[in-house]
Amino acid sequence: MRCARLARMAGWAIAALLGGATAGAQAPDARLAERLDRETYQAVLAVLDSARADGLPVGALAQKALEGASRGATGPRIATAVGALGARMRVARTALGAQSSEAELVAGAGALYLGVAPTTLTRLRRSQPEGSVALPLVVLSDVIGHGVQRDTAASAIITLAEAKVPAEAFSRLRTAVAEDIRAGAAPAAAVSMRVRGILVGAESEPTTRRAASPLPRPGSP
Amino acid sequence: MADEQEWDELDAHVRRELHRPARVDPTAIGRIMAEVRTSPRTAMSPVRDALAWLFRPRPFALSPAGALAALCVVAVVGGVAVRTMTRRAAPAPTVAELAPPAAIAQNVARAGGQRATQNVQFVFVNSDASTVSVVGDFNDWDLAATPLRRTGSGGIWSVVVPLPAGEHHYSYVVDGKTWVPDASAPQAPAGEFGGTNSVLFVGGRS
Repeated sequence: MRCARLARMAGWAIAALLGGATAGAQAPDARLAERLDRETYQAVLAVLDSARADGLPVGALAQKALEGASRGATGPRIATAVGALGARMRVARTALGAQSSEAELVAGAGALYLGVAPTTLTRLRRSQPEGSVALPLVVLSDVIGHGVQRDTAASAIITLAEAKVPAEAFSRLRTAVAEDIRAGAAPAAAVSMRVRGILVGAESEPTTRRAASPLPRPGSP
Repeated sequence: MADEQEWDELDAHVRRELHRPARVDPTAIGRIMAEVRTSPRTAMSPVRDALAWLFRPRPFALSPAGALAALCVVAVVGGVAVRTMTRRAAPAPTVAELAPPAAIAQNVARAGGQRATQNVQFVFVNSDASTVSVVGDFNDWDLAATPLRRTGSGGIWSVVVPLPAGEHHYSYVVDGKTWVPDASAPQAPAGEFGGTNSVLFVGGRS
């Protein structure tokens, strides 16, 4: 009798412990259940479970599903997007290393989505084995999004990373290249010039330089 | 051969001696205890007494089920305490500077043991919008969670959101349906959903 009572108490305590310990981990799943239809929820949950089993962080995957729901995407499209992100994060982890942060994996997955080669991610990691490469990867994707060729953009980012420039330099590169392209400069020329400017520490004088020798516009020789 | 026989005899002798019960004076224990009782007790302060009581080891019996239950209770109480601490509200922002459409991050809270949190001001300019909200991985992309407020009459919308350190993806949503990335922040592909999101780095290593 006493043993049975003790066993029951232990069971309740274990249930309480598991409930408390996994409350944070369960929360994303619960939010998914609220926002997704049953089939989509099950499909997304399968992707999350698989990612968990592989030791991948699942927060970004759950957020991708929630983003899809808010964007009004169909269930199959949400499931496809989450599965594809998981696959890209696996490739990114292989390229960047098992100790990479979730931000690095998400940024790497974004670059891979744009067609950047996994070897580029590996070279970037080798250039910064200690620091985070999330920002360089985000800037790489951003620069490609502005029309710079993948190889040109990758070469520029790796050049800066290997030169051990501070993180702010990547942000400055992004801003400057975007401004140059908006002003009509050819994307490749804008990147090339801005990278040179950062490397020689002359990136703080773009106005003078631009006035003296305007960047070539797309299509100009 | 002879040496071996001598060695065996010596071994047997030692064994016999070791197996012989020791003779103890039956009154010895009584005499020792009487001596202890009559000896003056070392004077100790109440504090030392208390410390001695606290640190004196005691036999302790606990069944495996009881130990498991106690462990569970400790873990639950600890978990509740940690979650309560991490839910503390971030301090109010102290900067109200408006800038071109951008998320302005200001480090305002780095309390002991807590994950660094920054108040980030999201600013969006659109004079035609009826409503503007910011959605991102910090609010589960909930269209209704973080509305921006119009400040003044110039079509400037803003809101301050406390965000934990790390990389955040976000976008503005105008009139509940048009997604607009922050032009002044890095863009990240939204993947299979099309379009782009903006990326914001808050504090620390990402």
